Amino acid sequence: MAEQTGKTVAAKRAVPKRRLGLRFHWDSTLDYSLLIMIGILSAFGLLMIYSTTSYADSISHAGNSYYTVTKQAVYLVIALLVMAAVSRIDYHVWLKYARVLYVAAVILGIAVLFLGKEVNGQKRWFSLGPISFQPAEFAKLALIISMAALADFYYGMLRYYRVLFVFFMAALPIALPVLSANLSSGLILMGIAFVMAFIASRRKIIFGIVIGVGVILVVVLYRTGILEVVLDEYQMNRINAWFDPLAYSSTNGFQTVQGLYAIGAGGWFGRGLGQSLQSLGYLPEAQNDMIFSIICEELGLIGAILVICMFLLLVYRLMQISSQAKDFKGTMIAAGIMAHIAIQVLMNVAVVTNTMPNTGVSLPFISYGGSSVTFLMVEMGIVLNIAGKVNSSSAT
Amino acid sequence: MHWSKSYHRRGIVITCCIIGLAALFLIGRLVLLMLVQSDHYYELAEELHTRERRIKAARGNIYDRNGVLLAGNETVCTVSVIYNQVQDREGVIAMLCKELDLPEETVRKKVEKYSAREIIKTNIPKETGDHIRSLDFAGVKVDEDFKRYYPFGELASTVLGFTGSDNQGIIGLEVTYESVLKGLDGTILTLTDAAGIEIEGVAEDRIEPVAGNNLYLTIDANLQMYAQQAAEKVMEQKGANRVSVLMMNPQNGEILAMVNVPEFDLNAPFTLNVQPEGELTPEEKQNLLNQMWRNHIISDTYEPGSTFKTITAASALEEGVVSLGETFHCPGFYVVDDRRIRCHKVAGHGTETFVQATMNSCNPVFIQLGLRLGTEKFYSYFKQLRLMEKTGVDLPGEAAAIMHNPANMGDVELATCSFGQSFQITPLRLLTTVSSIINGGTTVTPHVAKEIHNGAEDEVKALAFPSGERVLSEQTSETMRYVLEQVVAEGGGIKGSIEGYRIGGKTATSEKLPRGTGKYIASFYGFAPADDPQIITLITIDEPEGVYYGGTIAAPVVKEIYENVLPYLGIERSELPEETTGEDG
Repeated sequence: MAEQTGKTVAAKRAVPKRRLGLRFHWDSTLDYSLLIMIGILSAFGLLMIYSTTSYADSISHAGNSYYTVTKQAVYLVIALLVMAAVSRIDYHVWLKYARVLYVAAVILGIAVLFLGKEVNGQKRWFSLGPISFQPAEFAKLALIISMAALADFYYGMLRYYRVLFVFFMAALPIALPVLSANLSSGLILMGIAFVMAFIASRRKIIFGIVIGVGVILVVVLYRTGILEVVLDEYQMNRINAWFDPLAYSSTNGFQTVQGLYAIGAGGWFGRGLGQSLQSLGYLPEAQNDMIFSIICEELGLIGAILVICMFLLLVYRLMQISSQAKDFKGTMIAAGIMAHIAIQVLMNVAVVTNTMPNTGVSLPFISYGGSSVTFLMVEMGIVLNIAGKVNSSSAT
Repeated sequence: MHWSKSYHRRGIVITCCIIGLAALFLIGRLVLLMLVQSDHYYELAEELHTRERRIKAARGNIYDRNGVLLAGNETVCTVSVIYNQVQDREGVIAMLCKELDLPEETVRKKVEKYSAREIIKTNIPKETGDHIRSLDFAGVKVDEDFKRYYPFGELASTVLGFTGSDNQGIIGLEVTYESVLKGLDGTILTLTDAAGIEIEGVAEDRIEPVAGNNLYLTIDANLQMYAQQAAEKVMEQKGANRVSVLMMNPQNGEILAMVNVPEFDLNAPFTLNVQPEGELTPEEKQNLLNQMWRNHIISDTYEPGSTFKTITAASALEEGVVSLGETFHCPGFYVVDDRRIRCHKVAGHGTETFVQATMNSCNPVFIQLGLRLGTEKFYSYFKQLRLMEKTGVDLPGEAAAIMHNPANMGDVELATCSFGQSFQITPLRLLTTVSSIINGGTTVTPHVAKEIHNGAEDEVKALAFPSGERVLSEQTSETMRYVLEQVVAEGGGIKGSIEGYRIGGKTATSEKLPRGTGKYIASFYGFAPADDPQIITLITIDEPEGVYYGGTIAAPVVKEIYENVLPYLGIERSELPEETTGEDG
């Protein structure tokens, strides 16, 4: 393994100068298909953010309808630069610091509960002057890398069930603090760990059984009313609102119902780009967690399906990179990132369509937000690096 | 260096398949929401996004019985500014200052205020509004609106009533016939954002307003005007507080004129019609306004006094406790229990027949009639003649009678009631009951509205009011007409007589409560022709200065009115009965 790393570093050194600058000549190691997908989704995201926020901005920012989209464009440029930089870093470097990342994620996750800035009654943010970031976003990255390192460490024992227990115990310290402050991010973390464990482990059936038992347990807990005791009142209200959003349309179901209005108004082809009415102040967080409903309203069923297909294509590409990765670590990291994006997209669409209870999940690449897009692009940079190694080996 | 194994790749593929399936399921959800349930959510969303802007319906007109317009609408404009749409802010400010004649400071504050829509001025004339619109400044909106307009200003102010800024009736007929006059507001449906700001460039959905129905009254503007002039004249001459004149058809209760002077200007109903002394608190001003708007004929009760002897006489005749020729002796007082109740003529009327006693308005005789009837009978006639009930007039604010509880009515109370004291009724109630007594003995409901005309469909709906219940025999009614004709012809009401006309009537002079303040209400009612009454008029003069006898100051006013009104109504002169003289009560 050390040998392998040494070779890559040597190969890097062979490339003359201009390491971080954008190169305009054809780079055979670069994964263009992935890059193009990232580009399309990011550009589409900007378009939708503009479409969603231009009206409100022109009212609250003295006619500057580009206010929000400009901010997001700046974030995006920074994030893309970060991605470019990260793509140059050998992904094994991350694995080396897996322990540091792991400990940092646990500490940050706990610290934010006490020191975080309170937004909407929950402490999820760290605020450092103008920059604020969610430890939950960092935790996803740290978890993916830690789990990959862990899987690699137990490479020889992956057929044992007890390894799964180790995975589980390792994921908990990162997931639990996040879960307590931010249910949706916690669920995403659990999901990522679950998928990564599933891919790593030789024992697949057990995962099906766990899912089955989990579903039954939740149903039983709900039916017997124990869930009501365990969950916070606001979480219970959300579940009730999920079953009948119109009945709670002025309280917990408000956002859901407004999102459903947007989706329902879409029809086959939508109202047309920029023609959303729900984005005119009706739908809270329209540019954020609920942006998919605005996509539905403006671009219709066809547009929505195209967006989902775009994500599926991305996931497919990540799957390819994961299975072709040069080593097991690469496979695990790419799989973790694939799981992250897939889970987040699916959860987002599920929330927007009221397929699951409302919980704030942003739509990767498209939703507004600086820290989420930055960490996302870090992940993309890592994947690009993994893919680059695949391509360079197939090229030579 | 570890290599990924096939079971790892299998895991990846399985994961991807599950992701794909989940995506497919969510696409299914989208299809369900966007195609199957689309209409449902679309409708709900539409309801949310559209704002109804109301188009005021024109309120129905009010006409008198001959089609003279008494209340109509005029178009006025409201000028407002939409902050986000104004381009030339300074230009707009300058233009609005000039056109609306407003100080620059006020206009600037409103134009520069960041709000969705700022109203600059309401109720501006249509011409000004049209002119501002033609100047075509971006962000300046001119909306048309209706404002109630009363062409005669003061005419029948307390009867017609007026409307508030929301175009809803506040007093008078405007209240009673609110639902008839109001019409149905139309709407303009526009798309708005969550803050209610209209979104430009989207087609409007328009539902046209339906104008209100027109109302035709029983009131005759000419009679009303004439009665008002006569009332104003006597009010001024006698320095009275106020004068009310009520003119109606005793056969069917149609009110021909209803005057309460001083009237007020319906086009400026919040301006006091008297100059107040010193500064008024808002509360004081409101009290004065309420007083000014009051229809005293309907809302104020008073002790009717001698005019009420009509009722006592009719009851006694109906009950058979007196006959026309029966003679009485009046020594100038009558003792009831241990109370000595005086006649207005201190020396006494001496020996007189029942008819003469009525002509003389002799209190002792009517006390005796009351005592003959007894409390029970007296009260039962009081009730039978509907004096305990409201008349049911189609105007708001009618007051009920204030009467003794018969259980507590001793002989003294009965005696004072017999000549119209110690209880209170409204002038309208009095005249309505008198109408029943002289019209052959049947009830009428006084009313002001006659027909509802649906302007759009050219439909006429005649209004019906309850009437025709017998409360007195035809015989007694005829006798009463004869007796009352004698009162005007030769008795206390002689100053109300007109040569060539057969007029019946009765005078009254009621001392206001508390007694001894020297404040009186002089009143007189007269009807014509006496044998077949077509019109009956009651005048009440509140607190006249100087001579306060009804027969002296009230009767001549009715005479003056009748001299013109009777020919106007087509009532012919006839033989005049012989003449004698009498004394007023």
